[in-house]
Amino acid sequence: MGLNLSPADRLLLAMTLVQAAAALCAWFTSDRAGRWAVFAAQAVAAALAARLQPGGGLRPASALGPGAAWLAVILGVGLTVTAYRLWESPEARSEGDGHRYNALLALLLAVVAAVPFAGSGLRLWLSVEAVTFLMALLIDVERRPQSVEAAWKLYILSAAGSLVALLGTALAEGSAQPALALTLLAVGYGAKAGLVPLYLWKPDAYAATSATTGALLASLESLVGLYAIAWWVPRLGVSSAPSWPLLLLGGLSLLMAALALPAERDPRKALAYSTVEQAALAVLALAAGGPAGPLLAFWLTLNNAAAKPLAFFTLGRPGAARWLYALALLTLAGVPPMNVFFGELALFRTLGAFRPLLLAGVLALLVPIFIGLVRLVTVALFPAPQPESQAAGEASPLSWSAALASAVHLLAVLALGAAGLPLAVLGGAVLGAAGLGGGLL
Amino acid sequence: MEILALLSVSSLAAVLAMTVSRQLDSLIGLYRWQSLLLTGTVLALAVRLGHAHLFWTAGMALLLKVWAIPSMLRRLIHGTILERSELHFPLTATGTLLFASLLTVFGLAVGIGLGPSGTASLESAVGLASFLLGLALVALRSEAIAQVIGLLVAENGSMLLILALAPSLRLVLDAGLFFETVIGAWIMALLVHRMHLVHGHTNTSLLRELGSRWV
Repeated sequence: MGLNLSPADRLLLAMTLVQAAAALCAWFTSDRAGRWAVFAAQAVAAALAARLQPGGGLRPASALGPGAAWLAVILGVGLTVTAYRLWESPEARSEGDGHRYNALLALLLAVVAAVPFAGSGLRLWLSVEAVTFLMALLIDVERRPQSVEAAWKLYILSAAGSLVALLGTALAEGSAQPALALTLLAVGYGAKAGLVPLYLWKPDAYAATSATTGALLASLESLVGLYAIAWWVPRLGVSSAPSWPLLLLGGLSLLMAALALPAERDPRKALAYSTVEQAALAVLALAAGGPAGPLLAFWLTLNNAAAKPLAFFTLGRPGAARWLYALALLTLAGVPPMNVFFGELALFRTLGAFRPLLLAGVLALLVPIFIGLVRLVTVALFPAPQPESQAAGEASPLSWSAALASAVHLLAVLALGAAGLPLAVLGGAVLGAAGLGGGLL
Repeated sequence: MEILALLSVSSLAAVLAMTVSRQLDSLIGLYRWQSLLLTGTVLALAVRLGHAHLFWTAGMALLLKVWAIPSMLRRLIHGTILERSELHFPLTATGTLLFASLLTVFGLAVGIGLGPSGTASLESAVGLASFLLGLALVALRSEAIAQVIGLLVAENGSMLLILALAPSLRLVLDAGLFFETVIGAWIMALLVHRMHLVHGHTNTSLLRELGSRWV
């Protein structure tokens, strides 16, 4: 009796087995061997995703169908995050119990990669829920006094969001009330993505975690939440008409980011509010983007996933890393020619075509966010003189693996910027008319 | 029909009592009672609708919600100061009860229209009210274990709501039951234990190292 698995299921199974083997290996070997095992497993998973079909060839989209682009982002970020850690000293990584951290990281990356394979509302909910469980445990394993506080805040709010999302899933599956279902799903999954009202764990969690966990939270945790919302949008008939609940959630989230970010002095918390801003823009794209909404939302999420790890890898590090960090912040602020600028420009064209007043409101809210991020750049490049006692404890420079991972993200930011120009010029409406939005979900 | 209504309303009364409960031990006991009443509701629905899988769901609820989770929570506080200490309210007891009552009325009013094809459904009304009261417990209580119980109560409410809206969605029910109740409660218990070890208390309103005030 053979198992009749689809190509996508076979890929998922193979990737999960590889990552599970890496988790086992990491648990029973040294910290260094574990880091290599996790990196190797991620590389194998990426290779499997690229060459699934028996005949080989780079056909991830045909293997997975919709969601392949999201999977590519997940695997790409997973690769750079695991590569970043290879030569970093334990002090620089500050990840606590290395064995457990490595094992949990392997499992987390396996579960995150399963999200675009979900194929049904329930499987989607289960995989997103599993990501949250593992993320909370990953933070807790870091064993700093603040870690348990951060893990608790993440877990309790995310669990509340999960229950709301479960209710939304039941309503959507039962086809009872699509508008209410979408609102519940957006509020529930918004806890992961960084939308009001359940985003409150983000600043504290970002402030308390290592660079690796921070990069994962800022890129992948946010991505899975947005993917889940984006997955439901066309299935609940929102692509054809603007969704006011989503517009409201996106607008309020942007407002909260605009109020909090300029006043924030902790750069990690400021990055958290930047994630809230990016999530809000992606949801606005879904709400008002029409058929191109999923493409725009994906584009904005991809831009965030490319820039945020660069900021976390280089935050607080001396030398050239300071300039990379400044560049990451400028990218997030939407300065051209980096990717975020073009993604936002495409969104502005779409919103302008939909409701000019809405565009004006969004632009007004982006101004304080821009100012807040530029202020952080100034602080990073021209820090106030430190007393000698504090200067002695300066962070170590980037190891070459961390520098390489940062360079990859820098290249991604620039390359995506160059690739984003046509998207921004054409605007979402033209792309939607060309049918480019629907293939992503 | 009358038994179903009686079980649902009794379950809601247990949740209302939880909002003003002053001791963790009694909170856990009330959660056990509420879960037992929920199990009875699932059984009654199983008989009424003739869905065999609901018997399985009721059995799992009995095992996990009535026995395993309350026992684990009791074990967590056994021999600690939490067993006897009084829980604090951000509002007075009267204010809390008033707030909970308003939330209940709102939940009942909205939930009753959520039945299949817009039909009135007492279970969906009680489910939504319990769900909202559970979330209110999380927001109003600062003790970590009380917040865990709040989430579990919200999970009970969502289970009842899903049962009322779409009893055939067996997988949604079972997945919610397994994930939120078993794994979720285990992770929360682990974090509560770690909080106690690191900070010497489990009062979340005192967790201020990261600077942000939160619920």
